[in-house]
Amino acid sequence: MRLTLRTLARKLCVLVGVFALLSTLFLLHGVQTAFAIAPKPPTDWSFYMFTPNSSQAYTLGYNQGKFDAGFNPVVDSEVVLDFGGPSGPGDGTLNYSAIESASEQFALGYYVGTGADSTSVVTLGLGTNNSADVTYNDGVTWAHTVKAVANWVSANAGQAVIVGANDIEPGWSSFSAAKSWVQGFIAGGGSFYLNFGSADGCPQYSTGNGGCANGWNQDDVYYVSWGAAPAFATPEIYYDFMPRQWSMISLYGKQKYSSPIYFQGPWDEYDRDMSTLTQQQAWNDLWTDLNNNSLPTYMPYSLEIHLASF
Amino acid sequence: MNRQTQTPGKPQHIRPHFAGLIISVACVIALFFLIGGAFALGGSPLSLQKQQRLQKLEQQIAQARTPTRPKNVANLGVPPAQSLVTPQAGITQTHEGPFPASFFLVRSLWQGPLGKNWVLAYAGAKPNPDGTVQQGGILLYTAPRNAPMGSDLHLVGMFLAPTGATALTIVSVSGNLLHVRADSGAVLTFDLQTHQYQP
Repeated sequence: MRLTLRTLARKLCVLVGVFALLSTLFLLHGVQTAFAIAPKPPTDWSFYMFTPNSSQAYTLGYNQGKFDAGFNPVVDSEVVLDFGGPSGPGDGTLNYSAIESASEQFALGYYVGTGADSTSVVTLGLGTNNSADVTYNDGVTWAHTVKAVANWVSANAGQAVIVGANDIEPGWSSFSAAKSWVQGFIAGGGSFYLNFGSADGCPQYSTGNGGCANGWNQDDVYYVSWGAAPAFATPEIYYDFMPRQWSMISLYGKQKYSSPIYFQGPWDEYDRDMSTLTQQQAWNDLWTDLNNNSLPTYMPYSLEIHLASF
Repeated sequence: MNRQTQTPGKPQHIRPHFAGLIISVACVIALFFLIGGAFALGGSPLSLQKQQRLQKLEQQIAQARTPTRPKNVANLGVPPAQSLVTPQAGITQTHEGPFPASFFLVRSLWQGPLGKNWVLAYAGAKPNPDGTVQQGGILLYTAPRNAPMGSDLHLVGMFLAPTGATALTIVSVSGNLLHVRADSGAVLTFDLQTHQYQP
């Protein structure tokens, strides 16, 4: 009887051991060991649109639709229209009705611009920022604006997914103010937002919840970029230190919460300032820093900010 | 079977104990790998929540890809062109510009016509890496006067105020001269044409 039990135990342990070995191999397979940088997808143009204009937005959407449909096979895209902060130019003059109208026309323009192609999809982010004193109510209002545009697009066009977006930068507000906006966005029914901001002053070589600008820390930037339920991120990659900051924040999340950031893709501004990283450099630098830290390198998009109106 | 045939000698009694110990240690190590593996594969609550959220986003994209009705864009007319808004000249108390806060911290903006150009002068400060003010300055952009807003905006440069000046705020404008006040209380004048500070 003892022999039988021992044999059974041995067999069980062999099975567990083999399974553990296979799991380990599977895990190792997931770790990026190759150093060939993944090819950059087509770069999509996002726009500063501090003065929302429907016909201009329609044209921009139309151009993006034609662009996406021009590939074989066709491609998806991700675009943010940045309408400025709640206390933006003119202070408190964000015109929500004009923002809705311009966003809807961008989506309609995209739908028309894709022509016979009915499979390309643009993920359209309605962008604001955390400059000045953003509040919980600003987040609620933004979520409602996103929903209103999504409903209109669903009824009148297609091939567009409408999400929120926020240029969240530590230098612009306290973390508590930015967090209030996030909580308001959630309370207002917002499902997704893209953080297209920066990690001002965050550490480039450590993951110990180091301090960033304006009293923020790595945990705070992680929260607004990934930790909060609706948060996704397309980080600003203008200079070569920025991908190092974002890699450390993702690594911090991996170590603290077992949840590294899956970035949507780098956000560059070469068109605005040619002293900054190009689309390809931003892609290469972010990809390489993530890869060097065994972090997820899956990035479906590459984005670049342009100026439509100030 | 009798006991003698099962356990022929003392050494035979030691081996099973030793083997059991090895097996136990192997099992603990295997379990450790299994738990670690499951955790690394997304077992944490946050990781699972984000995976579900990503799937939801992908589902929405897939839904948008599947037309619910035939696509007939011929019936969708181009919206009537809106006249592009003419920017208003003047001073605006704002904190944002078309650049990140890590590049320049904005306190106020003056925009208006100057010669053939439309000029945007952002007053504020160049920040330190930790976001604190390093030195006050003015960030200058120009655009063609009659072009659509934002279609062709050029960075002229960042003009730092004399050493010691903290963040600047625009007080008034007269002709080509921008009158600014530093947080420290110092009052300066910046010439928009020569790009020089005057005492």
